[in-house]
Parts: sequence; C-alpha cells; structure tokens
Amino acid sequence: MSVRRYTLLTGYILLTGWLLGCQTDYEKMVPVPALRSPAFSSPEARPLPAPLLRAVEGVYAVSDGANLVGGQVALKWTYLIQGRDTTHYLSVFTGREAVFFVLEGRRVGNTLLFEGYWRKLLNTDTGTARFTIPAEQGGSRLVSGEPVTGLLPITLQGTYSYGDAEPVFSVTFTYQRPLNTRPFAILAHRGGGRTSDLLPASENSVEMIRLASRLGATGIEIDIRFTKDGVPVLYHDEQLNLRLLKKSGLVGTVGDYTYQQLTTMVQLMHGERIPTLTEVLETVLTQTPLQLVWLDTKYQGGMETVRDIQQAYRQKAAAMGRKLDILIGLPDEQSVQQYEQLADPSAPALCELTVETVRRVDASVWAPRWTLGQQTETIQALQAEGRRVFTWTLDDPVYIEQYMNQGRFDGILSNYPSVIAFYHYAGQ
Amino acid sequence: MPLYRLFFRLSVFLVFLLMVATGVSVQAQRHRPRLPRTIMARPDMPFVYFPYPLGKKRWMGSLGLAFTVPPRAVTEEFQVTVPRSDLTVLRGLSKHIYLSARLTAQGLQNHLSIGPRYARPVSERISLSIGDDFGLWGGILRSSQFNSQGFGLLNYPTVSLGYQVDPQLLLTLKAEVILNLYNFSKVGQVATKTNAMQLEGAGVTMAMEQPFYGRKHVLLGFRALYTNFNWQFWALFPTFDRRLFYPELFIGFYL
Repeated sequence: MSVRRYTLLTGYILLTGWLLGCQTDYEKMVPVPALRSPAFSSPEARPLPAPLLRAVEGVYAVSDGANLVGGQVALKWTYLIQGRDTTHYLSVFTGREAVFFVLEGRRVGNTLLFEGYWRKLLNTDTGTARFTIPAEQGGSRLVSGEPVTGLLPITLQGTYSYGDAEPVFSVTFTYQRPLNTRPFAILAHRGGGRTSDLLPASENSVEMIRLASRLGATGIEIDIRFTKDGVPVLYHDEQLNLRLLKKSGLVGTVGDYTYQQLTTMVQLMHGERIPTLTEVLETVLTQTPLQLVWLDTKYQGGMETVRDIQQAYRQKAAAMGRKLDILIGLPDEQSVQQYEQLADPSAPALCELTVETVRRVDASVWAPRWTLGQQTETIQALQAEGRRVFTWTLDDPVYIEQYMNQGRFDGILSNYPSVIAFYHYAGQ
Repeated sequence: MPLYRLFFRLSVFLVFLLMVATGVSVQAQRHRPRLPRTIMARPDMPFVYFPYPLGKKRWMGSLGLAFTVPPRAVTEEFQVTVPRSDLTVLRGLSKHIYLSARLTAQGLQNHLSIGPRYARPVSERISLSIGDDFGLWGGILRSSQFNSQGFGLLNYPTVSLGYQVDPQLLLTLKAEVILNLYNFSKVGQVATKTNAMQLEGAGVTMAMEQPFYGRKHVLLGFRALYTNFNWQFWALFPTFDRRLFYPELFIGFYL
C-alpha cells in the first residue's frame, strides 16, 4: 500500500476521532417564557384567597387545545415560600407528551386571571399561556365562595403561544370533578428533574427542589456524596464533568475536594452551587410542600452523618407539624452493610434490593426498578406488612399510564412527575 | 451540540477526503491510461458501500465491527461503547438492481436491514444509487434489574453518491431518512406497541473502501445519525422527542 494511502487512512481515523469529539458540548436549557399583561400587573389585580385556590383545583375536560394537552387535564395548586412571601402556582398536568403549565393567579373584580408558561418535557417546545375564568362562567361563584359543582361548571378560557410571543392559540378547560385524593407518592428524580431535560434549574440543586412541586412532585429523590472534609452534598455522577457542571478545570470526584473548594470553584450547569444535604432539607421543610425525601446513597462510609441529619430534620418537621418522610436509600449491598452497622438501625430506609433484604433490614419502603414489571403479588405481600413500594425511574408516558392504571405501587419515581401527577389526580 | 458545529466538522471532513482523493487521483492518472469518458471502470476490488451495479447473481460481502458512541442525554455518565458484529451482503438481481442486507448484532442490540438498490454510473468517476431498506431490530434483557424485551420495524430510504478515485479507492457518501413503522416492548407482563409511521430523523454515512495490506481490502465508515429514536438504546426506554446525535464508526473486511 502506498504512503499516500497510509496518509489517507490515518487522516480518516484522526478526523473521525475529531468529529466524535463534538460530543463534549451540551444542549442549552430551555428558557422559561415571560408573560405579564397590564391587567395582571395592575393594582386592581389582587391575589387569590386560599378557599378560592382550592375551589379551582380539579379534573377538567379540554375542548379547544386538545392537540397540545389531550382530552383531559388536572389542575393543582402548589406554593413556594421565600422569606415572608408565599407564591401560589397553579400547575396544569396533562397526559400528552409530558406537557405541563405553571400559572399564577389574580382576581380583578369577579374575573379570575391566570398567566404563566407551558413546557413539553419530551422536547424543547415551550410558550406563554393566559387563562381567565369570566364572571359569568364561574368567576362570580368562585369569588362568592359558592360550590363549583352544579349545573353551571366553571370554565377556564385561555390562549397559548410558542416562545415569548403573545398567546393566540385557543385552549378551554371545563370543570368535571374533584382531584383524586388517594395517597400516592409522586417522586421527582434528582430533586425535580434531569439536567438533560433542559429544565430551568440544574438537577440536584436547591433551585430545582424549589421547582419540584410545580412539576407535580410530592416528594423528591436526591443523590448524596461526601466532600473531602466530610460534608454531605448533592451530586449524581462519580466524576466532576461537563454533563452537570460549567467548565471549571477541576477533575476527579466530589470526594477529592473540600466543600469550600467546590463552592468557590464549581458551578452546576445553570450557575447554581452544589448544595449541602442540610441546606436542601432546610429548603424542603421551610419553603416547599414536599412530603418525602429519598436520600440516594452514592457514598461509602459516613452513613452516621446522614442518619444524624435525617433524625434532626424529622424532629424539626414534627415540631413544625409538617409531614415529612426522609428515607435513607439502600441501592446496593455495600449501603445495606453500612446501614446494618448503624448504632440505631431504626432510621427509616428505602431498599432497592430483594424482598428478603427489605425484611432483613426492616426497610419501610421497597423500591424495585420499573423494568422488572409490576410484581403485583409481591407488592401486596409487602403492603400487608405495613411497607410501601415505590418503583423507579419510570419516564415512558405509555408505561406510566399502564403502571398507574394497573399497578399497585404506593409511589413512582420519574423524571416526568407531571405525567405521574396527571394520571394520579385524574384517576377515579 | 450546536448543529452548525456538526455541519462545520462534517464539511471539513468531506473536504479532507476530496482533497486527498484528488491527490490520489492525480497520482493514479500518471500511471495508467485515461479511461473513456462517461463510462466508469468497474472497481478493481470488492465493495459493499460504493453504489455501482453489481451484476446479476453476483455476491459481495464484508464482515467487521460497528461502534456507536451514545449521547450523554441518554446514557449520562456511562459512555460505554460496546462493539457489534457487522455483516453486509450484496446480491445482484439484474444489471443495475441488487439487494443489500446488513446485520449488526451483539445480543442486546440486534438489527437486520434488507432492501433493493438501483445503481448507475453517471460519469467517469461518479456513480449513484437509490434504495429503500427495511430494518428489523430486537433484543431481550433479563437480569436482576431488567425483565424487558423489544422489537420494531424501521424503514430507511437512501441515496448514495460514489466517487471512484481509482479502481482501488472508492469513496461513498450516503444519505438516509429514518422512518419508524412499528415498535413493541414488554416489561414484565406489561406490553406497549406503536404502529403509526413516524419520521425519526436522518443520517449521513461516509465510507471509504481501499486496499489494506497485501491483497486485502478494508471498509472504513462513519455514520452520523440525527434521530429521535435509535433502536440500539431500546432497553433504556429513552423518551426524548428531540433529535440527538449518534456517531457510529464501522470497519469491515471483505468476504
């Protein structure tokens, strides 16, 4: 073979490697479109009182806009406390392609206004949205405190857009029935969602946890690792990498650096700090309505520290009258051994291993992977023992529907908690 | 990754191949008589990508390996590339029409595509083909964490442009569209299927077929897929409805 052909072959291989090197860049987050109409921002626009918020919640039939949201949606309020301010958000959950809306509400006279944005989590579609409940279509009755059920159901008339444009596409929701109130844990993966779904906050960040309940979550799963100086922090991957972090020049693991070094030199994908476990539990307890935190164990050694923090925040929640389960996750045999060596092995735990291991460590929750199937008989046996069963990490909307309709789980962990929320709240 | 950057890199790649090919071509012309214009000489080597009429009842084949680099959105921190066996076989049906079949398999990720090609030289050095392949993929995953199986049917309309640098150096640029026709998956006892035809994405393949060592020849290829769905990652049940970049490398030796 001639030298020239060797050159061609070598060049081909080198250039192919260079082409594959494209993979080091990542997609940017999908920005949240901003919308504020003069009516919504005017001094006459007043916040909605609590009884009125509850009255708007429910399952609604969709007439216009079914191509975006499907034939039915579930409307649920949530809140975020920051300092002395409490902001209420109305989330609209749908069963179509993980589309959800996040709206804020105001009252102008007997008309209710809602404005915000929508996002399709399966891709990057997003846009603004605006709804009203006119006085004659339920607004007056809601403001006066009358029940919403009856011959004249309330109707949300709205429009939505793509991107930051003024909303022009029609969408109409008509009240059908109250939300399903059966207890069910809607668990959001990595604090609320993955960075790869291009949400406006990074996974395992305080900002993502503040967002979680708007995405439908009633609980969150977070990933715990230890820094070099023994501080438990939230970070998923083994290595510091550009999948989760902005460029910093640091290489190695979280455990190779002190907490001080990480906070000064490393930023998560959207500019946030890597948070400590304490900081996150404080946020959950004092700022959100979240009721469950699953502490996924990504560390070796240090479970006593995590257990102590767990106990402290369980006591703090009880003192505040807040329902908050904090579970130590046991994903493998190593973590089970660590758990069994604790001086107080009664710390509430969630075990992902076999049923026998769940019983041996007396875990309050069994969490099998969803790809093992529905395992109905085993689940019922564990439930009869007073345990709960969560499955993870189920994202496929078609399988979510089937698991919600046929499964016997007490909770589902997902990157798309809004889809779980839809099938749960709209269930009968 | 920004699309413009991929196109930039693909363009540079293509320009490199053409520049080297032109150089080789000039070199080759110094040593052999010029071919009659408008008629491409039959390649003096086996080929499976180059779009040239195979001839009735003739066989051609290659066996090698294919590697796909998974997008981080799908496999996150686990960037493991497991090679698959890669068998390509051509069978001439008439002067210009032949069947092309490709089997890539490794147990968990298996795919068989088969379809007709119509190939025709259009100048001294350039040859074209059009084709339409049907692909069947499938796999079973049973372990302590999985009880899953899946299979599906895809369709790939293709167009190939071949440039014969000399009878022993063939460059091919192939464009394809990926249509999803049918998907079935089962987890435990729960099964789902979809059978609406859907455009998933498109791909470009650049293949080089040339002598390797002694009388052997080698096929080297790079396939860039931009697709919503890639059958290779069925077991992860990815849900992204946005086109992700799947680079694939393959190498083959002729049978």
